[in-house]
Amino acid sequence: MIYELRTYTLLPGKQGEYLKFNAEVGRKIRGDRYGKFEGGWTTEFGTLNQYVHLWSYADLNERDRLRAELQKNEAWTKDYIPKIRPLMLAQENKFLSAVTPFKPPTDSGNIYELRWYRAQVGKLGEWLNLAKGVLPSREKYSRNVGYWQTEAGQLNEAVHLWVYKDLNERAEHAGGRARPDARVADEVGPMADAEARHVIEIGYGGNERLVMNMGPQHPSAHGVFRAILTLEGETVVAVDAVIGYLHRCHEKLAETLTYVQYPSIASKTDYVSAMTAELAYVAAVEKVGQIGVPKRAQYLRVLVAELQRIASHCLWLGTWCLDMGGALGGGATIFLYAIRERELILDLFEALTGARLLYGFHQVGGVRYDLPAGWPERCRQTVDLVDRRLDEYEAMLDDNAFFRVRTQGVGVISRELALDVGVCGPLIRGSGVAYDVRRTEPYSSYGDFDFKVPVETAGDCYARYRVRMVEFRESIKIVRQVLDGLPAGPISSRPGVKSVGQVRIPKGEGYTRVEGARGELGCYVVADGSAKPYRLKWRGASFSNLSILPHIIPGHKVADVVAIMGSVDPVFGEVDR
Amino acid sequence: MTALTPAAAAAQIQQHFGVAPVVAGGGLGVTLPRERWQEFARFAKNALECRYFNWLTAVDWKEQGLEILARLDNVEAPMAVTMRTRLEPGATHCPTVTGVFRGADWMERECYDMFGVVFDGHPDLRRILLGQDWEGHPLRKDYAVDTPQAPYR
Repeated sequence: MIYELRTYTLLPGKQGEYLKFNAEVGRKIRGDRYGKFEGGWTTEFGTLNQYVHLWSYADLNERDRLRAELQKNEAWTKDYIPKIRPLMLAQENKFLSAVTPFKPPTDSGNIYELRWYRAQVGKLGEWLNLAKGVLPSREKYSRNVGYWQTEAGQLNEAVHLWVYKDLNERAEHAGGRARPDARVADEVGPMADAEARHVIEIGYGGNERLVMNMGPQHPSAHGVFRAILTLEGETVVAVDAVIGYLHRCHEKLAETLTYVQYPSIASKTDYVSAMTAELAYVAAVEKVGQIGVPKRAQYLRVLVAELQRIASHCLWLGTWCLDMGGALGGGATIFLYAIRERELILDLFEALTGARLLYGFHQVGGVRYDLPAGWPERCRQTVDLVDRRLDEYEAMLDDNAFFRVRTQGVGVISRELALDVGVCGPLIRGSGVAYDVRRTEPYSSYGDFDFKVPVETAGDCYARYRVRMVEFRESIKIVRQVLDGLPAGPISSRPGVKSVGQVRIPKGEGYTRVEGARGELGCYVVADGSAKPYRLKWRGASFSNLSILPHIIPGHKVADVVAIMGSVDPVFGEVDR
Repeated sequence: MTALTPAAAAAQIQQHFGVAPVVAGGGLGVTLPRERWQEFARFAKNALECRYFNWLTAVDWKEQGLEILARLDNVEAPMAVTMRTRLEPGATHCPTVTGVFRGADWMERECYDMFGVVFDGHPDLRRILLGQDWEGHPLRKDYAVDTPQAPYR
């Protein structure tokens, strides 16, 4: 086996053209029919504008024969050669024989280092033996692709190629630095000349990469979330999402608590939208246990779920705009406005349940509290006010040039990716899929109400914003319909539950879902006939939504990560459960 | 294109996989041997158009082994398929469906974290919610709620 290492020096500025032509025309003509193509690299250090490529042939006779055949290939001589010659400044060639087996790496995105050392006459064999001797130790630190020695032209040269993940890894390990077991002994001194150059794989842009931790205490995370970003300049090229900081093993906890006890714990999964989180749990239990819910209770459930959606979207809008900063009229402006409106809804919840964040409103078979006197009127006034204020928000944002630049075309989720990853709620509806559990599988009398499911097709942050802004209004519409049509009657089919073990669910299982503020929120319940579930699986909307991040963030700038994160609207209680 | 009904989907599953799906509340339940897990996921995605990856989890049936479940939705129909497979007692290996649905990535990691199910072929099977040095898999029935943990340092 003989290797041929060719180095072409290209005219400055012509490298891109040459590489494109080489890939699109030259490689297609040659394939591996005229000698095997082992790899091609472009230089990033030392002499620039060089293309280094390695070929292998069975022997020199074989090479002569194949080169002669290539000269007869008209596509090669007519279509390719005349086009690339004007791009080149010089050509250089080395014939090599392999000292160690050639081991090209299987992964991409690496940096390569090609070195050649010239030995004193007669000393190369000695040096190569030493190098081979320490290779097993060296390979603990850096990966070797091959060792060769020159067979023509300049003799007595050892050529070796190394591969590193990046320059940082190289700095740490190259040359077996500070590791005596991996160094060719210094006292040999057979080397006359050493020249090194770094060669970097085609396709890699060339900046040094930086790994940056965003979180776990970053304000734009809206909780405890750590994104390990790999950056090239300001651009994110890879992201590893680290979650679990808020994990409380809700699912194990559910196995230890009775059906009566757990709803108030369920509200702690998605604590920004506790009403729907509780609803998901009790609805699942009711389905498995085939427990009916009176009409009035169903309407009250819809009422609080929609008010909760408004409150939750207020928090999303405020914090998202706050994250995106000063461009939006001072940053905190929208935040303060939106939080002001959210407070009004929380006041309503406080009047209804006595709590402002975690309610314990739902219970198996119905709801725990009926509306206090005067509450419906207060509720109407509140939603009327929110409705008017929404116009103000939109006036501030819809045509705001800064807002549009930060959100349009940023964080695009394609329809196909949205389905494949299983994102839900405003995310999937922003990507052109009309999927809303309230419409797909109506629960709790949602079929009685008239509302639209907003869908946008752009799939970007702005589309998700538009979806949520319409949802605000649709929720207000539903709230008014509920208040208009609220039937009289009991609010629970099992009133007066006194003991925590009193609700028993017969053996069975089922998955029930509701449309929370963040999307499909569901519980898969396995009941074994006792007062506690055998198994409970939370399908958290935020968990699925957040898992889209590694698919959409790479390619964006760091500042866009904040905009994308906010548009996903994750609540970490629900991600980590 | 006419939307696929659960009954038509059940007939197709019966024909290709020789198992009768259980029809329950808009969804089909299909119990499969582990060897056909990936094949069924692909079939559900392509033939039944269940392109929406909803969730994947496991149930520990103690001495009867672990059961893996995954729910796939056809959002247009609408219709859902819950695919299930039972691992023999003591077994923890199951093929991955990350090659079919990208959403399976985190779900399988969570299932590995909580149940110790090893998804063969998963590109990055690490714990996701618990720390990488955690011992045991908390949602297993033999993992006591009061299992002592080394204090965090």
